[in-house]
Amino acid sequence: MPKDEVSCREASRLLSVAYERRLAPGELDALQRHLDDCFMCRTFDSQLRFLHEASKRYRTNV
Amino acid sequence: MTDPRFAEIESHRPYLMRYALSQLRDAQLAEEAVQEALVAALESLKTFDGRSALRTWLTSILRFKVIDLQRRAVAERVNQPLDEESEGADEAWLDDLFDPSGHWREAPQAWSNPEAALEQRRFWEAFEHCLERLPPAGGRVFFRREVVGDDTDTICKAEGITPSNCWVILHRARISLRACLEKSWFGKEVARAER
Repeated sequence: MPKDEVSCREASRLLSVAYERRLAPGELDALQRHLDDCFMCRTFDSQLRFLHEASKRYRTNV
Repeated sequence: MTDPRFAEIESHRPYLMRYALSQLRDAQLAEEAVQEALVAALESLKTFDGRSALRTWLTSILRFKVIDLQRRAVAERVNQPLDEESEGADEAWLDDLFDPSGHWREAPQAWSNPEAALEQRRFWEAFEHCLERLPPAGGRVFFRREVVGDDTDTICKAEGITPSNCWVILHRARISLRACLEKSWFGKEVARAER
């Protein structure tokens, strides 16, 4: 695997850590390229967003 | 006369317990805080004007009880330092999820209409069930980060762990929660629809 390509394992880590810190441009590029090709990680991405929204909703319960 | 809101208040106990646990890291202290908060809430129910959500109001009462107990715990040195650092440092759990080339062993399945789930009471039971199944530190850190919205620095300091350790814990919590919801809710949703 070329060094600027990331695996699903690494992509899932970057997708999660993006909620904690700003990704470096290199990380963002590599992640975006991975997502363009990988529907599984796109699914994972949208589900992390769902978890984020659901957790916010859980706080107020309305 | 029994105020019908008593039962409603009681229904928020699991959430409040989780909130208290995420802050106090001690089940007994958390239980105590929630108990005191619920008693205080019942006593001052008249002052609840319904302008904020009931859960928000209860949490604000609980927050003071938590601070109070934290102060006492520090004085009594009840709070143990975190020995769960390995929960974050050890990345073996990733090997269960990804094969040696880094591909998902089990691909995340598409969920149909997840937004609709948010409106269903049973979904929230599944959500709580899945939060319950996270490793202890993962549950606390995820709750403070995603539910309460505390910033990562504050959480890391309270847990006595490094930011990168915090990120690993959150990564693991998100992956586990996702998989659990898929199993205990969205998978069943599909099964129901196909039946």
